[in-house]
Amino acid sequence: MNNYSENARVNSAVTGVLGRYPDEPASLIGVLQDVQEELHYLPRVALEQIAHGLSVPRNQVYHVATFFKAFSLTPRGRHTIHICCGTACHLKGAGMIAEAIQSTLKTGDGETTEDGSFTVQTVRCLGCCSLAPAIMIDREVYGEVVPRALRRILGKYWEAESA
Amino acid sequence: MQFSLNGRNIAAEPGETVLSVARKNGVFIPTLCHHDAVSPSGACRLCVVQVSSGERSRIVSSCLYAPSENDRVETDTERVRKVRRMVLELLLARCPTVELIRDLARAYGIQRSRFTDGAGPSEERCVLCGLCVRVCDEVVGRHAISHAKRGIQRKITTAFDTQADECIGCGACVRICPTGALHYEDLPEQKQPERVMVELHTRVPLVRCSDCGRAFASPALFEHVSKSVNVPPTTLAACPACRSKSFAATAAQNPPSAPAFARAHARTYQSQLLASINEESS
Ligand code: SF4
Ligand code: SF4
Ligand code: FES
Ligand code: FES
Repeated sequence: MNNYSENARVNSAVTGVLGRYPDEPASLIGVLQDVQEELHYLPRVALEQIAHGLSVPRNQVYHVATFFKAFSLTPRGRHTIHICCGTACHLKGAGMIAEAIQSTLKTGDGETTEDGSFTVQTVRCLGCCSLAPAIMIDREVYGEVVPRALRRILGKYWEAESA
Repeated sequence: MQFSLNGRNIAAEPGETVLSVARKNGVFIPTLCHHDAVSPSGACRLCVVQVSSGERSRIVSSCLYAPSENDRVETDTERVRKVRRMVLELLLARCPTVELIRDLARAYGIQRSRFTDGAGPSEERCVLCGLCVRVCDEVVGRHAISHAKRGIQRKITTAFDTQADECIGCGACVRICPTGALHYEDLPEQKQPERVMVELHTRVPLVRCSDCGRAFASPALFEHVSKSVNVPPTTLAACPACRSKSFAATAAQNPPSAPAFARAHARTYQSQLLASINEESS
């Protein structure tokens, strides 16, 4: 995608999100969350536009956008895979799961696949230890994951992508 | 409102902090992130004191804590000193080359920190106290800098780590910084003279003094000062040196340069701090 159409896409996404919130500094986090969800990252032009739209100084927007783990200033995949490496999942073989996912997708921790479909991120405890080892893709939790189930799980998202 | 401070009964305004009452009453409490010009933030935890009410006692930050009726506040108990030692040991691990931190640590009996990463002494000078951010936000009103990122990557910077046109090169952040982490450098010989905010990725154009021709401040700073103290910008067109010359023959010498002023200021603050600690511990 060239820069121009990317900027236009960002601009219209941000304009849409801003339209759903009151023009006030208190809307900042909600707006950032929605734009992150829509674009899978927060490009600088988006942050500048948000700062302007909500009358929040740019330094404040940058401060918030770089503080929370939920936000990313570089492009993230269309789906985020959280691999739990908390205590329970670790004991139940999270290491193996992480390795399997990363080698299947050819990405390291915190990285995004070349085609932009997945970002892989390890986390500490998803809060469902009884399902260990667990992973979460976008908002869906998968429990008692075994490496050979991964192709099936990931396949669902691939199919949806190519459909 | 009555409470006791190191055993003395003291009256305080409702809402007044322990630190403010202590200072008024000549009781010394060390601080790093507090400055009367800006709002308190509780970032450094060096100012901790022990507050007891009834049987219970706890540690609070004196720059934020407003005492309740009949609180007993102690500013230098062993428990307090222990917390300060921990704070200083951590700060020393982060900023081993900062003299103020080293002196404070030494005053609390710490020679070296247990918390080094073995990578050799770090050159880091910033303790993330946030004074620079608050002075720029609250006093200068430019919102040019802020904390960014999190965890060990946390730092002070401009939006997107690049040139911040919000910055007017006033130097307030440089002066208020307790550890000398921020600097500016003037390039007066350039065709367009500039002030370089060294750590802040920012250059601010300077104009020349109407009398001596020395480049000394930015047009945006004139505008700001002229608005905030209500003097016409023309009064500001001469540099402070030329202005004082024309105001009074006796003030003919140059005032100290900005960095020298900052150093002198840091020294007085530092020596005051240390003198009081030594006095208390002796
Ligand atoms: S020099 Fe720039 S960053 Fe520092 S206080 Fe002034 S306006 Fe803010
Ligand atoms: S640069 Fe100085 S004033 Fe700003 S946070 Fe760091 S130590 Fe504090
Ligand atoms: S450790 Fe994985 S869900 Fe708790
Ligand atoms: S001076 Fe109170 S926390 Fe820093």
